[in-house]
Amino acid sequence: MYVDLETIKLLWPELILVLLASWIYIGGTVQQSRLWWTLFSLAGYLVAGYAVFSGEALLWSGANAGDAYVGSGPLAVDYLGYVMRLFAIGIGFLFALIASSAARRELASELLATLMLLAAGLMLVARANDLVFLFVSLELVSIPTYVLLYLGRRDRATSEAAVKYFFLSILSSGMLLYGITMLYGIAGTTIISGADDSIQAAMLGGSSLVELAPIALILILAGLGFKITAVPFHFYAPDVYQGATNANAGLLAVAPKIAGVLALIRLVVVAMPTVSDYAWQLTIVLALLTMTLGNVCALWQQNIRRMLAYSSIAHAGYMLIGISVALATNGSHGGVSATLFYLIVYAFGSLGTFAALVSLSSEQREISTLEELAGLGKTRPLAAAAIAVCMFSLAGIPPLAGFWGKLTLFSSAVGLALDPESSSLTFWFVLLALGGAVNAAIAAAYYLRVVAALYFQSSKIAITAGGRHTASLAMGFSALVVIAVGVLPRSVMSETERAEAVSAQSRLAIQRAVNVDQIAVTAISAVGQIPAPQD
Amino acid sequence: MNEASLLLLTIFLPLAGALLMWQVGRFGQHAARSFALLVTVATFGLTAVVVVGFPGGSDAYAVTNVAWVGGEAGSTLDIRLNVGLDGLGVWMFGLSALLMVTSVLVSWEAIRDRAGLFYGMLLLLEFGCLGVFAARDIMLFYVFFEFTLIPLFFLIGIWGSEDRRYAAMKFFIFTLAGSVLTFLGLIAIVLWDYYHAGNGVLRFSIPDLVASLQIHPIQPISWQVLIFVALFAGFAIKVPLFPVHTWLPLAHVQAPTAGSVILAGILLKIGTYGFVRFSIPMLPDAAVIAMPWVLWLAVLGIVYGALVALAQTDMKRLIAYSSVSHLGFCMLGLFAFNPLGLQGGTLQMVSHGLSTGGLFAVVGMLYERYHTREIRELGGLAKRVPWLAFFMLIFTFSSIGLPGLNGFVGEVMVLIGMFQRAWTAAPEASQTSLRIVSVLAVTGVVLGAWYMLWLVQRVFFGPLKEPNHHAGNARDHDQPVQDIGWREFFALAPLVVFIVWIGLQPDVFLSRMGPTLEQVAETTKEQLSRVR
Repeated sequence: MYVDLETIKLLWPELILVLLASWIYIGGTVQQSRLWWTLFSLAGYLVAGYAVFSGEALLWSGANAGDAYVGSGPLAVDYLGYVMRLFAIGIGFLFALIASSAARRELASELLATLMLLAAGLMLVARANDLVFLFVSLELVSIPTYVLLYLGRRDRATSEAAVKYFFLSILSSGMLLYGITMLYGIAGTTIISGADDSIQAAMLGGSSLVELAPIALILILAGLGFKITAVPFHFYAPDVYQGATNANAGLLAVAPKIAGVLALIRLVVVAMPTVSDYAWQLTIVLALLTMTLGNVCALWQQNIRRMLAYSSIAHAGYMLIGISVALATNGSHGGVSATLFYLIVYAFGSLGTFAALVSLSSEQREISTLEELAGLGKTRPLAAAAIAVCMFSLAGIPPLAGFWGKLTLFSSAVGLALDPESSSLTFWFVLLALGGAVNAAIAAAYYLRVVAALYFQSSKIAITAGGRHTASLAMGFSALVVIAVGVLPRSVMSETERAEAVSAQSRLAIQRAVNVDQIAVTAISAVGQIPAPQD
Repeated sequence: MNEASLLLLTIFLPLAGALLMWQVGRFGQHAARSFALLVTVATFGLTAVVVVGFPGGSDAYAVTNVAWVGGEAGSTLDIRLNVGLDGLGVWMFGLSALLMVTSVLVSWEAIRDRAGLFYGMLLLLEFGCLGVFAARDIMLFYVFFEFTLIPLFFLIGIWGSEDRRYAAMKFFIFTLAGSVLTFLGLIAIVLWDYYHAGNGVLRFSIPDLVASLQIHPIQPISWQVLIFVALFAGFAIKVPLFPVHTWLPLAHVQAPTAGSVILAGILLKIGTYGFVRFSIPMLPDAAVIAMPWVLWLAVLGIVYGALVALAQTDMKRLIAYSSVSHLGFCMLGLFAFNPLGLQGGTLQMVSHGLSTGGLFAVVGMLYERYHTREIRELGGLAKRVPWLAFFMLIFTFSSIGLPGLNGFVGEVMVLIGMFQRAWTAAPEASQTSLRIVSVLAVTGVVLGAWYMLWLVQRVFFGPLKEPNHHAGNARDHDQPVQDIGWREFFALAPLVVFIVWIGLQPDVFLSRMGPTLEQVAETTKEQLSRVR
């Protein structure tokens, strides 16, 4: 892999985060002040955010900015990367606030530094344009997650959760890597944005390696399905969430999902859109299974983390709606944009809920069951209001952010079904939209149970914790984002729409394929299998 | 100030009030209820100005249309903050503002716990209701439509009776289950228009969509039927049509009085309103195909609701089932597809809001006095609370359609409209079926008079019967209960004014809604003539 100075420059924000994280690791052995390291890491995120902004804002301002400019080999310099890096920094910032509340004093610096590495990993995933680079970035998300799971609490349940997550994550990484190697074998290049061209050339060239493409696709979907908790790779989530602390469960609900969805977009939508005709059917089935199973199982849960685990499974299913649309249309019809928008909306809704749980918990008692939430509407009105807002948003009730997420997803699916140019897809996407709608109603049942517990019951257990102000800050901020995006959804939606241009590359690729066609046909005709075209 | 900004102010005033209530509520129950009364009365005053200014005609009035979601250069999405009143929405808009004042007044003493939150939710609900009837953008409508679920969920769940939690959940999930399908249907309408008539712009404006779908109706018809069914799911549950009405009695019985008043008076009408606003003009072919089915469901609801109401022992439950029956009449009129039926159905929506809103308020007042709603525990109350009995009688007469009161006008127009459709202009295939429907509907009138008058007779006449443990005087529980005071008088009197006014001068109201509804009737004319 050729790396020049230009590439290093483009990686400044990530480098800043990694350097600062190392600094915190080292400094944490000397200075143990929680407040000091919290402020330090918050400032670090701000600096990194500024670096992203100042490094690329010029590139994207102005009407003639190319949203899908791909440069510098392993790095995709595109709007998707830009937006999602800023988003990753925001997520890191909020988790730093949460972690600062939840961490034991002697571990605060380690936790904050590990989180920072994780945020850097997310940012790298967002802009990876190289198979190896992408895989390494995903590992940079996974490895800090293992560490964080262990750092959370020291008891049997936590250890079990961490070990379970660790082994299954390794397994999924292995599958993903296997898929990636096959993809490399077929395409002959590690550059993601160029993979599609190469695959088509290989197809037309009659290369027998192309037969591996479906296997590569399935392995990649399986590996990433684990990260986004898609059925049937979801089974670890309920146990792991339940065993983890609230802060870590929140992290698991958000970070791997961002990484997984971004990798799905890069690896499947961008790199192999034309590989197999049934990719979208596969994701439709996955989407329907995932959301239905997630929602139905969540109905019976008493443990709130377990319930939210199933809820996060269900939301992965919703995101797969957008991925299916993107796959079936080579990236048009707003599938990618809807997925990204939903991802952002989901992340804030989920994060706000977990932040509220962290702020209500204390070191002695971790809030885990629905009963413990009873009556908080009276005793802790702000936390209760924040949870209620997030629940209604996750349930997709207007005028909160989640509603617009559903709107974009459903309209991408219905739009594809109604498009006269794709009438063969109508049945499948009507089915998908109906499945999504029915699931939205099922999901409301368990989200409402939480709200009902908060407001309709009187408190049985007094909650005394109150000192976790930074988590409350993260909670309030997330709830406000959920409301603000609900009132003015366009602020985020127009960004994700621009980011969708990443898949325009694949559309371009198909147009380019005409040229590839010429080359391939000449090549084949040289062997004498088919006659050369007449033009 | 012009009428457009006045309308905007009217809609957003309750929202502002609800946000301020966050602070006002801290000063206790009295501050909260006074402030809520102030806001609702002010809103009603503004509404009155706007509604009185409505000139009639088929054009929308007081239109504000500004970009909200999308609309910037290069964006196909263009959801707008597009509000205005036309003949269909204007009276429901006014009714919403009126019933909110009543709701605050009936909650005056009843709500002590977390009063600030209660009145805040009530004002949010008012915001939602006003918005639904003024929205001229399809997504804006849906946003308001679903938003009303949240405050009512809290109203039922926190301040309801014993089984409130279950009732609130059932109400929310039932309604949501239908309305997400409606959501898909609305999206499908917009996108169909986009691909077949839109010139690359997503149109969300309701009048634009109606106009465009007249020229390019959704083809093939199977698509139209599918979308109609999707819309039907949400609206029918909201109305509620038989057999998806089961959430309604439960929600009504468990809800606090104000919740019942608003639920019966306003929220159910969003369903019928949706049919006239979307299903009929946008999907006329499917509506004509579905007509016999919908009419059968409506008439089954009329008869079933009436028969079940006869068997009830709980006053609130009885009135809840009477709503099922009366809303069946609304649907019957609307799906007769002639101007008479449509006008009758729409007027019946307003009439039912006034009479049933009043009936729930009266039952709430009785409950405050006796802590029971059981019919057999009460009797001869006319001697004890003559004024309350007087109001009860007016609302009952209005409900059963006594000539001279509002219920009569709507009911007669609905029935004439229906008979006209069945005997003079029925599609060949369903002629007999429509005639049976019309005749069955008449039995609903008789049954309605029976169960309502029987209720009044048992509770208010005959020998005096009071439960042993009643609230009595607020200070002294051994004192006999008192008749209504000024507060309760002012909660009920405005309703009576409109009940009599509509009854005596229906033309004032009909002439203003007429042109809009004639346009709706016009949309199905061609389709009807084709099936004949």
